[in-house]
Amino acid sequence: MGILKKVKDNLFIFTVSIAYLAIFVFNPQMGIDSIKSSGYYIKEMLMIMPVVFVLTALLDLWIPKKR
Amino acid sequence: MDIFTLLMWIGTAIFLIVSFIKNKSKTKQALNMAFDMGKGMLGSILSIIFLIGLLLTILPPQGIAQFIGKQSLIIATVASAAFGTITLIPAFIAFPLVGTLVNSGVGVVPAAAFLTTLTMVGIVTFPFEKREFGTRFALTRNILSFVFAIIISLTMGVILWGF
Repeated sequence: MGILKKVKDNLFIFTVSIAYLAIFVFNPQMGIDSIKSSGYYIKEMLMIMPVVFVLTALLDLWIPKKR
Repeated sequence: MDIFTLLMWIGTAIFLIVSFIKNKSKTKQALNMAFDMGKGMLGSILSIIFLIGLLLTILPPQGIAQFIGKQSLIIATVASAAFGTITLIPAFIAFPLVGTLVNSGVGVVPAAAFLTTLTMVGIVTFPFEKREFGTRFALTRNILSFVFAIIISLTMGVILWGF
């Protein structure tokens, strides 16, 4: 039951993983290409995401909340 | 890294240092908060990114550009906008994604429509929006955003090329 609940809670991650598993079985080259093109977006994400989160947290703590 | 991103990093670093000098524990609390936010979102963001990687391998951007180029501008724009409504994704993924498409030859008008609905209209994310703001709010905002996405992209076409 524990596994089923985990799958249900992370249905999207699970679906994407299954899709990758399938593509690596049927066409490994396409799987590698997919990972490679994902890499570009991960790089873009890592360049800005830490700043966004740290800045959001800092602003949240230092700017007084009204009411 | 472009100059704007670099300035963001420098600005944040300065802010962080000043914050640390002024209040050590508050700063630690902020860093923990940032870390938790990142951890909470990382799973879904990574899934979206890997899904994009997969889709772009199955449907290469050049192929998408060729296909869109064959359609009439209005159909291409409305269809691109409709594709973007599937889910809301953060701008820092949407910009590089649409950038890839534009660099592969997708027209700016359909690309702008797609980008606008991608960051403003979300069907998958609709239940979360509904839970926070109610059905009327979520429905109105999403429908208006879709209509304005079309208006924005067509107006951009007029401003950029005058047709």
